[in-house]
Amino acid sequence: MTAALANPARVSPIHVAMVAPVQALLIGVVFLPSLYVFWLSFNESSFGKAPSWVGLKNYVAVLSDPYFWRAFGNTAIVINIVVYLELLLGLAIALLFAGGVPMRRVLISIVLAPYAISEVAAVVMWRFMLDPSVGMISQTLASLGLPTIEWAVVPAHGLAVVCALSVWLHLPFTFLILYAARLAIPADLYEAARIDGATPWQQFRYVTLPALVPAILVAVLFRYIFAFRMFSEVWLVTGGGPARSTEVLAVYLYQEAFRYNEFGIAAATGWLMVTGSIVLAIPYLYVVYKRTLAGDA
Amino acid sequence: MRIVQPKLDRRRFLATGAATLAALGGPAIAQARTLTAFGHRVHQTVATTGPGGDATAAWRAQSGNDISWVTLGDVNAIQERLLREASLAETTFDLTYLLNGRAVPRNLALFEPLDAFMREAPIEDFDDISAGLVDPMRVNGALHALPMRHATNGLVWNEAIFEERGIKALPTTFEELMDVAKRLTFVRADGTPVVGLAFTAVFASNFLSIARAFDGDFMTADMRIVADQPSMVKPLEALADLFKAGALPRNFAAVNNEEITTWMQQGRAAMTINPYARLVSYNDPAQSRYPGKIKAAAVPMAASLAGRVAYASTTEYWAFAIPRASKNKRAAWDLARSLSSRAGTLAMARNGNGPVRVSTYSEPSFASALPHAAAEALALKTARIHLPAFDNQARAHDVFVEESQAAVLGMKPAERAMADATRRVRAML
Repeated sequence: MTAALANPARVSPIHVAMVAPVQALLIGVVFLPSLYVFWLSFNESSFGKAPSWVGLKNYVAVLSDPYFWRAFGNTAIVINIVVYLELLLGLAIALLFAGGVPMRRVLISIVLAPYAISEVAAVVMWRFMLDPSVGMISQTLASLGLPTIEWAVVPAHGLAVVCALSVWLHLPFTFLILYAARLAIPADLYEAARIDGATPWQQFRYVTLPALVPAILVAVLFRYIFAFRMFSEVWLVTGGGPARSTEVLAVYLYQEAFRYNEFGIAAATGWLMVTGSIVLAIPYLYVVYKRTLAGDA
Repeated sequence: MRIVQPKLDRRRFLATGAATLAALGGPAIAQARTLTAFGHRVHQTVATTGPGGDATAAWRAQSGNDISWVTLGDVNAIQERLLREASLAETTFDLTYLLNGRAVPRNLALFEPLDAFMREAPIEDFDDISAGLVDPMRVNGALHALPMRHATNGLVWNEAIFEERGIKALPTTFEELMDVAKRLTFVRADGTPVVGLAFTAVFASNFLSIARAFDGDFMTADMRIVADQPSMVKPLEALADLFKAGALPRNFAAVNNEEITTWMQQGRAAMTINPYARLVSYNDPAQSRYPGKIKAAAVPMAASLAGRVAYASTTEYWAFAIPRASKNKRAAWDLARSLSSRAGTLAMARNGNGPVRVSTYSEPSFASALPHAAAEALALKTARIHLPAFDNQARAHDVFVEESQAAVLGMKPAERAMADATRRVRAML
């Protein structure tokens, strides 16, 4: 057994036994249900009637539904804003903290705090702050002579609020990954760069950034996948309104499955979302593979 | 030859004893069973707890049966679980609570038709239950569910704010009401903004509560789409005018019922469209700044119809339904029958349930504690649901809401919005 553990290339039965429970769990709760949903996406299905095979009809129905494309467009806008804004902010805060700030532990706690708040509580809080009549943010804007954020009436405002809320909630994830990666960069490299006369910008450009790229790719990849299935922020803030104008894909799927009970169409939407996530992930996965795994081999 | 001696061990003793007891004790003990009731937590509360006492006690004593309650707190989760369970070949659920919005033919078919039970053991004074609630529970003439709890909408108004603005009484025509809503929109000296009218814009029933002042509807009971008629367009134009004037909330499309409750209790809204039953919480001295001052009545009819056409309130309700796969159908019927009797309905009403029997509102033990009893009874008598039951009802509902929101917020003219809604829903029929 010791020999087997010493040689990572050799897989022994004990290795298989140790990972088997996790693999079984994944197969049971992810893989097999996914296959069932895939099969369901080719069927017409609702409560009280047996699924009946309809081929690609559900996919045609979804792809020819203008509300699906509106939800797709909203999703694309929101996730691109959210992911890259989080990346910029997370990177800036990570570099600031790594460079040394007073009361660093307190400040880190403040940055991480939103991660400890449930999404529902966060949305209730933001809704109250953004109440057009009495909300603190609305009142502040009014006192500055600025127009109110009409998040429940103007779709662009609604999506902007969703973006801001999502960035606030999920920034700690990106920050933690980048901060840990930044702390892992050896100080020697910066010392060598300084001796060579590198300016702070050059240190960032030629030392920090290349060393952070793998972490940035992982953070972006994960956030893309998480943001792609964003639901509660939109559902609880705007409910997809006004007039379904701020719906995102997960809300569209939820409506089809749990409001209209069209399980075949919902399953097709789910698989289209999986396909979209994979298409989004492929370039990042390829670069991660090239830079890390392939390099290690 | 071997003689086998009978041996009396503990197991044989218990088995023999149980058999003897079953034989001697009669059918009540031998057939006693536990029924599973599935619904909202509030269903259990009103059936078992409160000033009206335990409404299930009589049935339990008479039948020897018991109830195991399975309850959840979220309406959508309840209905989703119920319909999944009712779709199965076997279920442990016996008596369930179905919401009228989910009672479309496809779903109702999952539940046992009740007519045979009705013939065998009829509901006491069945005609007393509002016909507007019973009829939508029928598929091809067969009754599949039995209304048990309603929430009928009315115009809820804060008398104190009316007085504050020098308005003596509730208007008698819809046109006056719109004018009053504008006058009730103001900012108090302490900076508190007050909005004339507020209601949740995600329910078609709320838009229809306004439209019924013009005898308007999205669809009729015989499935005709009438959303593009002036009786539906005019009220939406009136609401759009109110929104433009600031007499509807700025977050009109997103405001939810919890927020409306807070606004009414704190005097931030002068009027709302909501069930009569909410008056209890609106007037709760522990939470409201206006206990006893918040009242409800029917929305006044448009001047051209006032005195000629009766206002029909919109209503939402729960109904008892027995899954086809239940193993205790007859016992479940007997429980539903007992709870639907005059006495059962009254007991549940006193525990906080909205009684579906019009006569319950005349019972002194209930009406004396309910200042709006007469108004609600009147509303219940003529109430009808917001859309007829058909398989695409939920999708049609959302189309009507979407187009109504668009009309009120000025995203498109009301006439075009309703023409679009008509075209889109027609394609679903």
